[in-house]
Amino acid sequence: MESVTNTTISRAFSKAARWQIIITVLISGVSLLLAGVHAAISALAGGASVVIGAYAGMLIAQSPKGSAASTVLITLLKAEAVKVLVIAILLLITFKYYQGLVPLALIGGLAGSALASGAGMRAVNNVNDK
Amino acid sequence: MENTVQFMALIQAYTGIGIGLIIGLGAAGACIGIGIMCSSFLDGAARQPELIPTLQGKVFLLLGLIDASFIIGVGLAMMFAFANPLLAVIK
Repeated sequence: MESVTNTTISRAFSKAARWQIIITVLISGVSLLLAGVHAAISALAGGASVVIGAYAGMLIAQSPKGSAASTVLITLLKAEAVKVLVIAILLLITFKYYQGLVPLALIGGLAGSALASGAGMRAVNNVNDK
Repeated sequence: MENTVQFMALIQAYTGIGIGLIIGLGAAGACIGIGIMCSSFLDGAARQPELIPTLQGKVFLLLGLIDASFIIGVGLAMMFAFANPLLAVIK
C-alpha cells in the first residue's frame, strides 16, 4: 500500500510541478517584455520558491511511518508545515538579498505557481495518466 | 521634515497592522479549511480504510490548494514589509 501511495503522490507532484513551471516561465516571459530582466528574474524566483517548497513537502509526505489514517494525516500536515516554512524562508531570502527585486512580478510568479498546484488533481483522478 | 517623519511613522505603523491582519486572517482561513478537510478525510478513512492511499494523494494536493491563498498572503505581507510601495508617496 505504501508504494502505491508514494507513486500517487509523486505522480501528482510531477503533474503539478510541470504546470507550475510552465506558468512561471510564461509569467516570467511577460514580465521580461513589460518590465525588464529584473522583473523576469523576480517572477522566476517567486515561482521557484513554490516549486521547491512543494518538492520538500512531497519528500516528507512520501515517508509515512505506518498506514493508519491518523499517521497518514500527521505526516501530511508535517509535509504541509515544511512546505510553508521552506517557501517563507526562500521568499525572505529573496526579499532581503536581491537588490533589483520587482515585487509585483515576484508576487505574480508566486500566485500563478501556487494556484497551478491544483493541476495535479488530474493525475490523481485519472489512473491511466502515467 | 518633521511632517515627513510623522507621515513615514504613520504609514509604517498602519502597514504593520495590515501585515498582521493579512497573515493572521489568512492563517485562520487556511486552518479552518484544513480542519474541515482533515475531518472529512478521517471520516472517509474510518468508513472505507482501503481508500486511504487514494485519498492521501488528494489530501496532499488539496492541502496545497487551501494553503495557496495563505502563501500568496505571506508573499504580499513580505512585499509590504521589505519593499513597501506606500512609502513612495512621501519620498
